[in-house]
Amino acid sequence: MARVEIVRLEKSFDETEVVRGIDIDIPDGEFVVLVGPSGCGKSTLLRMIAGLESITDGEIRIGDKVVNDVAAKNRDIAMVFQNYALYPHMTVAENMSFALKLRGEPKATIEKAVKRASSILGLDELLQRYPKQLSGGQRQRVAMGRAIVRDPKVFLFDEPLSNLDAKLRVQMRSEIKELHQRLKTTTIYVTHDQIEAMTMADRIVVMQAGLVEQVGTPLELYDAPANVFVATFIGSPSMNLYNGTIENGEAGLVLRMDQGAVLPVPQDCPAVAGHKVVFGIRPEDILIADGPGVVARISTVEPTGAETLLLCKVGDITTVVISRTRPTVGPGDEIALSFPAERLHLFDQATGRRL
Amino acid sequence: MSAESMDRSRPNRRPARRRLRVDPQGLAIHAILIAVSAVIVSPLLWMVVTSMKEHQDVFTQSLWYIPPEPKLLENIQHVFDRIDFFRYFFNSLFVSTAITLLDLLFASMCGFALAKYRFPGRQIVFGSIIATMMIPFIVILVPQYILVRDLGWLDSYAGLIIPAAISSFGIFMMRQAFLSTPDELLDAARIDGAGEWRILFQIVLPMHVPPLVSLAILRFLGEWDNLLWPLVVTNGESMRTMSLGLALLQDDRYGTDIPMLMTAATMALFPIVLVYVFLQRYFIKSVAGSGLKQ
Repeated sequence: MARVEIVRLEKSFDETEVVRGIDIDIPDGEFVVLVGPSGCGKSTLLRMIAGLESITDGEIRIGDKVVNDVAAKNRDIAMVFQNYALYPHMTVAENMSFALKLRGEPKATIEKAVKRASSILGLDELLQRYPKQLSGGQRQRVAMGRAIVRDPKVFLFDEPLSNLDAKLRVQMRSEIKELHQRLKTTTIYVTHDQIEAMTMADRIVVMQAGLVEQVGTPLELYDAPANVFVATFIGSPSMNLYNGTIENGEAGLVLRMDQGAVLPVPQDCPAVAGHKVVFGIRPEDILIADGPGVVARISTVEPTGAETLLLCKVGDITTVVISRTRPTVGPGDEIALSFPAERLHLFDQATGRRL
Repeated sequence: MSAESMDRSRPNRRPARRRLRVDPQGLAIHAILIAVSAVIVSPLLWMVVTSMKEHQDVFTQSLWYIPPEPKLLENIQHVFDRIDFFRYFFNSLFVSTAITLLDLLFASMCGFALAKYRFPGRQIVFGSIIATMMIPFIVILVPQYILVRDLGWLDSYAGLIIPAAISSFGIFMMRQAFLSTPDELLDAARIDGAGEWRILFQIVLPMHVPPLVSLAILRFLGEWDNLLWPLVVTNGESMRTMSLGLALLQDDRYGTDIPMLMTAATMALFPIVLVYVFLQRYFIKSVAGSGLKQ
């Protein structure tokens, strides 16, 4: 187990900057998820931590030791890949013991380590099988077994669940989380799926275009996104966003939507009159008003059982409303929406930063 | 899915009884295949049949005549009387095997580097290697002979083996095969602590047995049949290969003893047939898989 520090890390391929000065400090035993859209540099960052990609500038420290020039095999890390990367001509047991054999560990130690890992992951019955004889979930478990066997300082996961079907993904998600709670090894996990990030992480690092947009616990990111990008990226369905202007109302500041409606502003709003803002509200925070409110026309109703998703138009902006009350409305109906002031997120229109 | 549930889900029904149906398209295809096979196989069969004949039978009897008392043993005796068959056979076996093994080694190393490493000039190197495939051997025969002569390798195993120990075709073939290896697998091995040599020999090569076998067969056959280079580079009796030996059995002055020649050819064909029988499964898999034709 070890602390991982990433200091002003940069990576360019020829002229293209992929990682543009990243600082992250991961304390010992933490489960950190790097999340962001495709091409944001998260996998490159992980590969740099693994030692599979050279570092253009900056520093990576694992357990207080700078590892910039340390080969992957000497960093004491283990990595689980998206397509499992199991050696196809080796049995499960051979796959899991390969690293220890190369390290020259005695046979008894290897057997013990493989046994321990296979019992943790429920692989005892499969040890003599070849990867092609396993299902996707089993292969993923073997890939994790291969990582556990080495008892590394840091676990790295590179989109390990992307190739699994939805049901298995949910199951493996909790298995990985349980595994971390049991082993308490520092873990860095890369995914583009924000639900995976929310459900698994101690802390999430949201990345975009080679930069860190925000670092925080899942709920910090959900409740107080630092900018418009994080606001839309975290949460599913994503936050509804509208443009508006802060104005002086009769009883203090108000928010005038570009669509015309006037809303109260949150109490601690630092904006001044005339400030152009983007404001957002989560679908589950919108209420269907009995009286006057923001007028919306329903285009689709999606009942999921526990809740109902209403897709509607406020002006020309698509708005998603999650209702737990099973409203009796249909497409084409007009409803009034209420946006509680304390649930609004305000961002500067020019910079996109949270106010 | 657990192992038990997988076993349970395996269908345990009796296969439906096949009904015999006339399939005109299938019949036509098979008729063509059989006709083409006959064209390919008949010279080989004729060779075997002829090895049982006497000299005069070749001209007086029908093509497929087998004498009531086959003269195979006598013909074999004639071959041994005329040439040092075992010496030539051993030379061919040794030279072909050595060339095959060396080419497998070098072609996998080069192919791996060209397929999986990024380095400046990689495309140029690969392009140049491919370009050499377009140069006919006859064009480089003389310069290669002069080089081998200057190295003092005339009439030696070195002269027979080393110039052929690496082939651009082999490099091309192995590179194409290695391209399909996922990079993640190599990364996983690197993290597991394997060096680049170990990755090639313990991870990558065992995954590519069919193309390796295919290359081995092609090279072995090619070298076993090779006549021109051994003819040029060897002088003495001791370095002659099988194909040279067969050529020696042809007598322009008094007429070739054709049954004897065919007997020797049959005997010379033996290792090739053995190699092919044992390895054809991989060979077909590889050629069908890679879409390569030779």
